[in-house]
Amino acid sequence: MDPSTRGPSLDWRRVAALVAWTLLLGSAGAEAQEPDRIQVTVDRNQVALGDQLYLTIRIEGSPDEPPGLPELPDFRVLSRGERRDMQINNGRVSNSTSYNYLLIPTRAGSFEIGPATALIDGAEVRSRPFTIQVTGAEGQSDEQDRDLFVTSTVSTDRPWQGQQVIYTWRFYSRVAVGQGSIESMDFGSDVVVEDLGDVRQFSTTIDGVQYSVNEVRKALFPQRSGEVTLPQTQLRVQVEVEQARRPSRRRSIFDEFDSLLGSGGRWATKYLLTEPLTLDVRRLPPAPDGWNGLVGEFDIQASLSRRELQVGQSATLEVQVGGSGNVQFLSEPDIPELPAFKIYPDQPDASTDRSGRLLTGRKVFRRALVPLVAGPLDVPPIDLVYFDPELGDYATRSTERIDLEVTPADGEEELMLTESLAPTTGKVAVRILADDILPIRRAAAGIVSVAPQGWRLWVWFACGLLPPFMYLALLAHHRRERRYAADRTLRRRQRALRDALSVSRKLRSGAGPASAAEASRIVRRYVGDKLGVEGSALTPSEAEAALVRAGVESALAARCRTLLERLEAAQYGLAPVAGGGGLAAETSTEGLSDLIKTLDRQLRGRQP
Amino acid sequence: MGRVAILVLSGAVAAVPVLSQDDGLPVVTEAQPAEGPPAAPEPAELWVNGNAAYEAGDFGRAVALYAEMREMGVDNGHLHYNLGNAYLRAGELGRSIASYRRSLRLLPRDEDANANLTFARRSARDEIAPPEPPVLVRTVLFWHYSLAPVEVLRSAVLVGLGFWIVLASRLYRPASEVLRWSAVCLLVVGLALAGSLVAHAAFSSPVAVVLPQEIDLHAAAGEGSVVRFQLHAGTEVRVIEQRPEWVRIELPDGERGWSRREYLEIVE
Repeated sequence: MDPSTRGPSLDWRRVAALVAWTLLLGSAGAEAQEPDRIQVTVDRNQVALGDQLYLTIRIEGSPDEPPGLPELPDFRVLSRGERRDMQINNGRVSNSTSYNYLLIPTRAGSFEIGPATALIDGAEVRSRPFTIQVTGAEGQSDEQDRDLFVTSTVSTDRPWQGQQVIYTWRFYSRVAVGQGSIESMDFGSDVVVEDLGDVRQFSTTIDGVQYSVNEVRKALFPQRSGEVTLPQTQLRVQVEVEQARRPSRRRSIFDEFDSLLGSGGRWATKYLLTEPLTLDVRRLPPAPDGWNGLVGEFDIQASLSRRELQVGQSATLEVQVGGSGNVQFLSEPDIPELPAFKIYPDQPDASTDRSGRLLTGRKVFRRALVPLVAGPLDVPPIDLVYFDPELGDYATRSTERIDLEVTPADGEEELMLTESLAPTTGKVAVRILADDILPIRRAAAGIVSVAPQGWRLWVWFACGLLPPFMYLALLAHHRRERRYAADRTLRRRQRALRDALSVSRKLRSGAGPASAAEASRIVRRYVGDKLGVEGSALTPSEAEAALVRAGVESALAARCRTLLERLEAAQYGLAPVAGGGGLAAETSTEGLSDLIKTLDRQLRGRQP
Repeated sequence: MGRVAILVLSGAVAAVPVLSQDDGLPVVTEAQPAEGPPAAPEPAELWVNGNAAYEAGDFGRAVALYAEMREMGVDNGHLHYNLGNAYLRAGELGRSIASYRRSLRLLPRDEDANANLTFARRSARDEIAPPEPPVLVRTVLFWHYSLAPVEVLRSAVLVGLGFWIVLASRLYRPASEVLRWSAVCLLVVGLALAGSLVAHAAFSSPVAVVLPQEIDLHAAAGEGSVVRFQLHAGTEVRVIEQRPEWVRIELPDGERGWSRREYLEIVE
């Protein structure tokens, strides 16, 4: 048979195999196309102690809340923010959120980074765990071979309680470093810490390699016996990593410009930790009398400003106490009784020196001694007791006895001095043994607010603002009264219009003689008030003349005269008012008001 | 019971507890309605209970009761004084100093508050002088520093009232030399008091007191900025700028730094 004729059976096997491969690849492809919805990555999985690594948790989509970090007890974790990304692939929009963390290992070893968890669309997703290797300083390389490292040392690890221990922290670097800060140098409450000068900078060579060194020194005073641990000190520093990556490349002129402009390299943050130190603090033996807590090496000196003086004259006794150690406890030593002297204490002077290798201090106590009796006197030795760590026991230093010769004072002065000092001899200054705050208040004033509130505040504002306005009103009234008093016609002139209009409104309607008499009286009175004359006595002609003299137009004055004449005629029955040439209209309220207002307008401003 | 003092507070006579004093110790007798939900405690009740808690050594509860009084709007120097004592006993040095400062602002001549503030300041670790004006300024402008703002306000109103009355009297007795010089004196005093009021309202610089044991002062308002220096609990510094979360302060030597607001208590 021709093989070609058996083709179909072979084709079926090939097809089956092809389908199987396709299914296999398809399933693999499908698995590959379904990425983890949460991924935890690090920039490197092997790191040296003192370096740091970046950990990123990337979550597809929008998580309901920030992810839960895995347990990381052997690392210090610092958050470095989050970032949201959005991608568009074939018209499909996807977004993701990345949370960044900085991990600083605190010890060497192999550590498994457990799964991080996140809540996405109500479902919890977990990442895959992985392992990180942290090598120690010796595992990475010899300490001296590193570019930068920190050390901490103490002057003694078996100090006595209260003994001065010099703690020296150094930062060695042989690469360019930028800004740095010591983030934690806390020694706890078991140790009293005193600074020893500023940060020292110098260069040193270790096994032929030159390092730049920054040194910080502290004086520590352990306060209790037993084991005292000084925790790790952490330094954060900016390091130029670009230079370290290309050490062999020759620097060009452009590199110098880059360096000058500050864009020469890339900077990274490094965290450097010292090893914790342990002090075995020894307990002090039982203290003798006179010991006031001094531990270290101290000295005492005494001097007197004058050795020969008269009764009543004063000499200054100066006692200097100083040395190295816990100088905070420097206090005035017990000065023996000096019954032959009147003593005036002075303020002590204290000074502390932090610039040397040790913390040292000095305190000077002064007293004015006034001898009360004549003869050879002396100031006995003054003792200073302290604990000497070198000896491991208490030591005593003493001043030398100071002799002085006191001669009698001149007669009267001596007597006066003796009399004045005698009543106070033996008295001592009041010593404050303890202090405390004063007790609380109980008075009901504690429940009342002092600041005015609500309507009381408005009352205070009114009391503050009303008086000036009231004064201005009073001032205006006062001035007007004075003007009225000076010019008796002024009040009539000012009120003429108002009075005339007021009376005219009450004018009785009608055309009888009574209405005419009333209207005539209104007009005459207005003219009289306005011109400062007796209006009722004016004849129509006199009224016209007076108005013209006052500046009223002659036509208006003539109109006024005519009206008054017609009103007189109507009043005495000589001519009827009604229908009498419009007299009724003129003697109405409106007519009179109009005439008076017109007169007032012309008289206003023309009157003196 | 010997002396009985009844406090009548405006608008709430029935609900106010009656303060009774016997040998100086206040006692609260409840005047609550028999039915219905328990009424909120009145300031008088909180005051007496706060004092009792303080005396019993429960300083935390005393602080809470005094603080509740403040939230109810009670504001006086005695309350701040007691609050300062309770804070100090509770170990909160910064808040106690702030309370004493508030007490002295309302009771500037109170010797007890001054003594307790001095006592509290001795516990502060930083050797920084509190932001106070020089002695010469305090002496020259004595009325400004020895009178509380509310006292200045009342004095200014009364002096103003007297001035206008004297001025009005001069309208009727213009030749009186007594009235003339009285007006001049009252005008000078009134202007001094008005200036003090303006200074209190516009030119008084707030003071911040450090609350935690130790805080970092940054070069800029942000955690990432350089830490310039550190301050410790109870230190008083001048505030020169305030933001929602950060406060900029200045030390007497001119050094400045930013701190998070929650680390400071600002006394306006």
